Amino acid sequence: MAAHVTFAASHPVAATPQLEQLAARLGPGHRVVHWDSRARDPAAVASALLAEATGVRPLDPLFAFAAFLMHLRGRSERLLVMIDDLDGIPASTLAWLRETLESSGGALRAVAATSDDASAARAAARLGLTLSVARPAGAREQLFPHWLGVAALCALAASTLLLVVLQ
Amino acid sequence: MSGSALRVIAVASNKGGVGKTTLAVNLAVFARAADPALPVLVLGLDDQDLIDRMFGDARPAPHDLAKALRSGDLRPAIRAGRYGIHYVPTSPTIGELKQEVAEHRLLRDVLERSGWNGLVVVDTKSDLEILTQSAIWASDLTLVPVADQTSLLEAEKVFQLLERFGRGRERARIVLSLVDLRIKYRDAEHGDVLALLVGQIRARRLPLIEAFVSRSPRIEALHTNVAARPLPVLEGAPDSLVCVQLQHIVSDVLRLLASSERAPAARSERRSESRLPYRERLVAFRAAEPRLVELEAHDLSRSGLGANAAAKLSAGERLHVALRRPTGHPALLWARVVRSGGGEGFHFEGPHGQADAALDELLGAQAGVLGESAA
Repeated sequence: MAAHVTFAASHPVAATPQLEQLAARLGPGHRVVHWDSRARDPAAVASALLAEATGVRPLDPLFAFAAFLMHLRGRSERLLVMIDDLDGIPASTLAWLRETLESSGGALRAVAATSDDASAARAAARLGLTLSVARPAGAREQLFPHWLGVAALCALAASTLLLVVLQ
Repeated sequence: MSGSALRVIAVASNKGGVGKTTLAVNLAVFARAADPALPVLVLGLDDQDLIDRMFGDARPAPHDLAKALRSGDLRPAIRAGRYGIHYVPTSPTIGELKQEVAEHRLLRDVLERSGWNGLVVVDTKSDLEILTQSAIWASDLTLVPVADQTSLLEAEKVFQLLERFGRGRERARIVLSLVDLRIKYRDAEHGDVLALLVGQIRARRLPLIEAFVSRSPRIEALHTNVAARPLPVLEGAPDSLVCVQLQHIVSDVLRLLASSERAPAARSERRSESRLPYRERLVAFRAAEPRLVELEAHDLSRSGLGANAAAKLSAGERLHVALRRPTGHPALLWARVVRSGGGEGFHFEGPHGQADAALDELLGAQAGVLGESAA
């Protein structure tokens, strides 16, 4: 299952710190890694994620990444991937991410941010997001912690959380 | 395992104090728990009454094992006991029987005449005398507990006996028992007592059950209590590591018995015992940093993986090893690092369930590519 949570900030805020706050609310059992926006194809992405999670860049990163997720699943651990620039990911790489999320049995989770509703809709379609939590009208900065809490709950229940940061 | 066939497991060692009786009685209880429809009978070929106290009581019985073997009729002596286990009361004078018995076929003949359709577990005396030989001859599988180098040297005598009987070594398996992983060696090649014994067993090419039983004061305490009734691990320590280890052992033992029922039984086991070339770049995951380790695998068998690791590993270290299925997807198996002859090996921990199926798939694919000659 995947979730799509949208919220707005009343002034420009960067996506990364919001994702960090969200990750902190997800509690133990989540190993947090950051999507390397310079990595374009699945092998480069898997290599970068493994390098951050394990300290090793294996020669066959796709096999190693699939094995790593199986290993985590056997230990009831999760890898949480933070993507702060979903818009910049090629469609083929998004397709790989979707397939990997679905086959990981919950060992891989993603929290992603986009900058506007249109790109969020495109990404949601490519990631197969099915659940949408509507953006509240007139959300203000003081509601931000509340919406982070909602987002965290959604993320715990979902394999993917899409966060739209409207600036 | 089919419940309609007589299948016999003997637990034998020429060395005492290696956990024979503990293994035998718990094997019976776990096998029955794994398949409540499976009739399980326990016999003890020495004069100790632990079997009686665990499954029934220690009062003198009108029919005991010595009388049953003398008369050639086991049926009047079989009693229904606790945990759904049947047993034959042990005899305080069974030692006298060995003067009277000259034929090692005795026990098998008596069991077959009894019409028992199910599993029989035979605990033996710490001596390869005629009654123990009779149990080994009667058995479809002999388990040989090994706890140290002395019992390993003695274990070879069981395999030599099987050869004298004209039976293959695969009719017996060593079970590492009372393993104390606190025993470490300065010599990095051997690491701990488990790695040392596994290395020596492999060097002798003796068949081994992959799982082992740890030494545990908690398990030893199950034999001493106010009621003077020894408890099986499944009742007295169901949440213990030894309980999990015994489950793995019983699973492997029942699988071996089931495979030996199939005719011709030998093929899958022969394949499982052979090492096939398996040249793959793999990964493994460990507790220590670096957490991910790359491996260059060179051969594979049911018991383990031959490989060289890119990082320094400690003998006895536990890893989650990812093997490559024919589809390219990974299959993960827990393994321990074993060093021998300057190379590294990964000794699988009790393949069972999905891991077993994954190995079947991998080994089957390898054999299919390479042909029977490679095995």
